[in-house]
Amino acid sequence: MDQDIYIVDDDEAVRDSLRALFEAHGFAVHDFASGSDFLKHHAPDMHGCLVLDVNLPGIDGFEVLRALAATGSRLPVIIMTARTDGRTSAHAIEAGAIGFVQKPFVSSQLMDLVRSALQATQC
Amino acid sequence: MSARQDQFSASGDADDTTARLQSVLETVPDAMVVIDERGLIDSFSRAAERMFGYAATEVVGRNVSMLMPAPYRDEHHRYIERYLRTGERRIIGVGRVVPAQRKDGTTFPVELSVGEVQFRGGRLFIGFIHDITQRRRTERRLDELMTELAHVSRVNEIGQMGSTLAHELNQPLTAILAYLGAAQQLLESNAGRDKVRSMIERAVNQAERAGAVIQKLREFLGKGRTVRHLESINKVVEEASALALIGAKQQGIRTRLELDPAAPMVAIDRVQIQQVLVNLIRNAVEAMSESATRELGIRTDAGDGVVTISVSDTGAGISSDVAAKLFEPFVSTKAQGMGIGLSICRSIVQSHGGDIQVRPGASDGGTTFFFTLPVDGPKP
Repeated sequence: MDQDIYIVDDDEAVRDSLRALFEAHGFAVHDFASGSDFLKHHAPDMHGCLVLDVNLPGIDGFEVLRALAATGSRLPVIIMTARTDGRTSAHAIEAGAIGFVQKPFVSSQLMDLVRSALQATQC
Repeated sequence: MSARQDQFSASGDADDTTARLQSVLETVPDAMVVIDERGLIDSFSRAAERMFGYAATEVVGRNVSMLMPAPYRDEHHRYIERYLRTGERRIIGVGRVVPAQRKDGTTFPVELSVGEVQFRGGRLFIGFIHDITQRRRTERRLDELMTELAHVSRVNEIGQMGSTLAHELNQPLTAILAYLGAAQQLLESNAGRDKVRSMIERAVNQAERAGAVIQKLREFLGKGRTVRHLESINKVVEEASALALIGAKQQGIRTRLELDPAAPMVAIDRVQIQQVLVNLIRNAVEAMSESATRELGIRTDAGDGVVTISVSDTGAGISSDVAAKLFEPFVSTKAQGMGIGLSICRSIVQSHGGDIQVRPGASDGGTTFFFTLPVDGPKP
C-alpha cells in the first residue's frame, strides 16, 4: 500500500532528499516548490501526509495551514522550520499541524512523526 | 646647567648671542642633545636630564649611543659616518620616531629631529627629542577603541546575518540527513549498491554546499574595514619595535634589528601590521624571561614578490605539537591569556594576502615567527 507524502519546500535539495527518503521507505512522493503550487494541486479528499516548510516564498507555511483548514481538509500536516524559538512550534500546533520538526533533523524523527500521523488519521 | 654653557664660559668664547640662544633653548620643553661629528655628547639640556635621568656631567663627552637601546646603539656611529661620507640624510631635517633608553635601562619612544650647524671649523648635530610615550598611549587607546568599535558593528552585522546563515546552512544539512536516512533505509531493504551510492553522492554534494556557505561567512569576517596605504615596511617594523619595547626593561635582552635596505613599500593597514609585530615581539620578550641568553632578532628580508618579517627569540622554544596548532584560537602556552593573539595575527596577515609561520630558532632553543606580505598587495 503506497501512501502519499506531499512535500512543500522551496529548496530543491531538500525536496529531492526527502523524496529519496520517503521513496526508500515505500511512499509515493509528490513535491512542490511553493505553498500556492501545493494548494492548486490540493483536493479535499487527499490522503497521506503533508510535510510543509514554514519559510516559503509567497505564502508561507502558516498561510497554507489556514487555507487548508478553511477547506475543511483532514490531511495531517507536519511543519518543518529552521526557527529555534518555542513559539513557532506552539504556533504550528495551534494552526492545525499535527507535528513539528526543526531543521536539520534526523530522518527517523520525521519518519516517526509521519507514521504516527498516518496511523492517527487511519483510525 | 648645560655643559655647553660651561664650556663657553670657561673658554671665554661665549658672547651675548650664544648665551641668549642657550637660555632660550633651555626653555624648550623638548630635550636637546648636541653631539659632535664623532657622536660624543657636547651638551645635554635640562629637559634631557629630566627625560633620560642622567645628569649632564654624566654624559658629556660620552657617545650619544648610550641614550639608545641596543640595535641603534651599535649602529649609530655608522649612521653618522655614512652621513659625513655621503651627505645622505636619513634623519637630519626629517625627524622620525625612534626608541630611546633612560639611565635605568627602560626604553621609551621619542620623536627625534636633528639639525646640523657649522661651528668652529667642525660640525655639530643638535637633536631635539620629544617624548611621545603619552601620545603613543593615547594613540594606542584610540586604536583599541576603533578596533573595538569596528568589532562591535561587525558583531551586530553578524547577528543580522545570523538568521539568513542559519537558513542557508539548515537546508543542506537537512538534505544531507535525509539522503543518509534514505541510504540507510536502502541498505536495510537490500536495495542495489548504485541507489545507495547515489544517495551518498548527493549527501556529499550538500556537504560541499554547506562548506561553501561557511566559506562565505569566513570571507565576510575576514574582509574587515581596513584602510591600506603604501608604507615602508622597515619604518613600520622600526616603529612597532619601539612601541613593543616601551616600558619593557631591557632585562639584558640584546635586540638585533636587521632591516633589509631593499625592502620595498607594501600596501598595508599599518595599525594592523603593527599589532601583529607588537604581539610577536612581546611574546618573544616574554618567552625569554627565564632564559640565560636573551637575544631578540627582528628582521626584514626582501624576496621575490614578498617581504618577510621575522621575530626570533632565544627562549625555551615551542614543542612541535603545540607549534602545529599555535595559530588556532584558544591555544596558548601561557599560564594566563586566552591564546587568541596569534590567531588574530594570522587573520590579519592572511587578510593582507600573506602567511605566518613558526619555526624553531636557528641556534639551541628559541623560536622564530615569520610572516610574509606580498609586495603588490593582496590579490582581489
